[in-house]
Amino acid sequence: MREDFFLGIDIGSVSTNVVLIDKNGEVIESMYLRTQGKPIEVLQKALATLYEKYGDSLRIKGVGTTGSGRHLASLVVGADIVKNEITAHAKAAIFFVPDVRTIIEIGGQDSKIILIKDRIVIDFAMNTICAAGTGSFLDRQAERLNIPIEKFGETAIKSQNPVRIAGRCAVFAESDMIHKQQLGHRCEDILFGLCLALARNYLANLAKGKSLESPILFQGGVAANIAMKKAFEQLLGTQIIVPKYYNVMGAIGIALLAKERTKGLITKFRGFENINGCKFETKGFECHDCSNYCEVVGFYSNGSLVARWGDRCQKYSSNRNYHIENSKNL
Amino acid sequence: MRKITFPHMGNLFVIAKALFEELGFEVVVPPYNNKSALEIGKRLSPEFICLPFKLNMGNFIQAIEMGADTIVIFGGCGPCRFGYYGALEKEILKDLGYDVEMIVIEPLFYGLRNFLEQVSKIFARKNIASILKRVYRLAKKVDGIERKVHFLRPREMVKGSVDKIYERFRKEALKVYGIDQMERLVDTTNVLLDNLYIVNEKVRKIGIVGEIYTIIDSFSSLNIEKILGEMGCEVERNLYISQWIDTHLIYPIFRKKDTIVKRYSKGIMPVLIGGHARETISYAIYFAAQKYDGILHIFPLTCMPEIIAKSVLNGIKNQIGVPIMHVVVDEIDSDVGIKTRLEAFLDLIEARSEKVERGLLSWD
Repeated sequence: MREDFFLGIDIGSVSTNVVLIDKNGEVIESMYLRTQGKPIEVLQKALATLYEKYGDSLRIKGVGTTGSGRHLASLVVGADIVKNEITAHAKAAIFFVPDVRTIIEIGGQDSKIILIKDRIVIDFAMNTICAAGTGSFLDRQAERLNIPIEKFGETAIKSQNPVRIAGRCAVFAESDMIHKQQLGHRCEDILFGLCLALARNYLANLAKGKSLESPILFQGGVAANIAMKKAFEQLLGTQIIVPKYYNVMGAIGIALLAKERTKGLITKFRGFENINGCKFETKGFECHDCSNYCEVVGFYSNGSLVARWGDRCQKYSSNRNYHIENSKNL
Repeated sequence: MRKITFPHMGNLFVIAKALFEELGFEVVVPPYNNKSALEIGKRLSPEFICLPFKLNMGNFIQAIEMGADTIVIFGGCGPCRFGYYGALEKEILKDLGYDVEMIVIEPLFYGLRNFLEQVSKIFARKNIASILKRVYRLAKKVDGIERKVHFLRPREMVKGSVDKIYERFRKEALKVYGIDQMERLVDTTNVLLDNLYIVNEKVRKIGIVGEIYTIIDSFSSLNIEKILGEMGCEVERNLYISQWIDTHLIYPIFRKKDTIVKRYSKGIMPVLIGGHARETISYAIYFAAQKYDGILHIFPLTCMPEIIAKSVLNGIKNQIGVPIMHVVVDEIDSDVGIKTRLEAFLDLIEARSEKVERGLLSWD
């Protein structure tokens, strides 16, 4: 069985997701792994698992990378398309729910809102300065209360009488929460109060001045938390849909984009053997040739330099000819 | 002899250096805005002050270490905190025990005497009128280079060649002396830029509006213009240094207003609320009327006039009809986040314009 498959890789701050889709967009395999600050190793491990499972029967026709580690990942695997996570998320959401109007996406380090009309993105926003409304914050608070993050939603949803917690800023929220604990509130009330605070913070910071039309999709790692879904439903007063592959939507989106991009072209994918057997390394230094003091980063594969970036004057990076590579006329 | 220094703001150092040298001073140009300047500024500044203040402090300390003993800075009035910068910086430097003279040039409406008193410390026994005229011409020329760079970046054949010439220009500017030599350098740079090979690609046009310092100074805006240029966008912004001279030093004397501001702020913000909020709003509408593909609004965290402008722009979104993205800058060390947002913004523009071309657009 040698079919055509497309690989989508989403390297985020907290999770690394890899999905495999076939030519109809059907999800064959999806992996959700913790990045733990080692994106390359985790990615290599994920690809090794895929290779063990399918072996040579897997014929990859296109690869795409997204997420904050997308450029690194694209160098590791040889990607056909490198796109931001906002476009990728919107792509996947439109694929599964064609008439979607609003996407609420909360990940590990950032949260986004994407507004869609007639299947195109018309507006978006991403948190800029504060991470009070994200998964990592919930994770940390759950840890402090000694509740495994997987149990967070189940526990919180039991709440009858949620505590009001200030959600404007992560620092204020945390100290406010500790005060409420010391008053002896029940654990589930505090947890659901936290969910409500987070949802309020999200709506106040990102959705300010925007009208949220239904159907509303809720995706990203935090969508696993049923209490968060309930909190949003309570505040918005409408039904919210959590799609089946809520936590790997970015990877699915980029796989779909890779499928579009590679139509009739040969993939740049380097092959499983080449990736798994390779040793990748990143080394950085501060350039002191002028007073910009840029931090130049070099990426090495098996000891040989693959790419460099970070310099303002392009002394080290970009020896490639951009226009010849990217020109639409050629 | 006085050793004069001044804060960085984009290419201001090119003009200011030539001017002070022509007036017979020794000039100390602080190192370009960089991480260590920001680090120093952060340590010495009030916590919730805006980014330009922190960079100014960093520039001053670095320049003093290089031997400067006089600092020249403009003052101002109106609700924006910039008017208070000079006084506050003076106090901070005094507390730190630095023995420097601070010359704060206030605008003319604070009294002619005060103005002349401060200015006379700089302009002594020289043919001021002719020097100022030449400096003004130089400022126009330097901004011309920046405009040309914005035009060429998305169109250059060999990636990075524009920036190589531009960076060289900024480096050489530190070495030449006086207005004449600076003008010659500008002319050679112009020749180099004119001789580049360009490709005729489909280029998107983005208008940049926002707080003056953060849009003029590329360090504080995280090099957004360059990033956009590399992504294939031509950038135009509403403020250049020569325009700042026009709107703050020349128009007030003749009691004239920027015509675009006058025309487009009518009915939306008829009075000045300080800073450049009115300019931001009027130029956003102007760029939309000029059929730009998108508008980028950049301002530092806690900037009051621009926050108001942001809310106003949100309110008149339908009237503008062009996508607007707001970028808030503060001490951000990595440009990955900015790149993600810009990329998504350009994707949005791309998808939207396809619909516009097919006549299918319905804007919210």
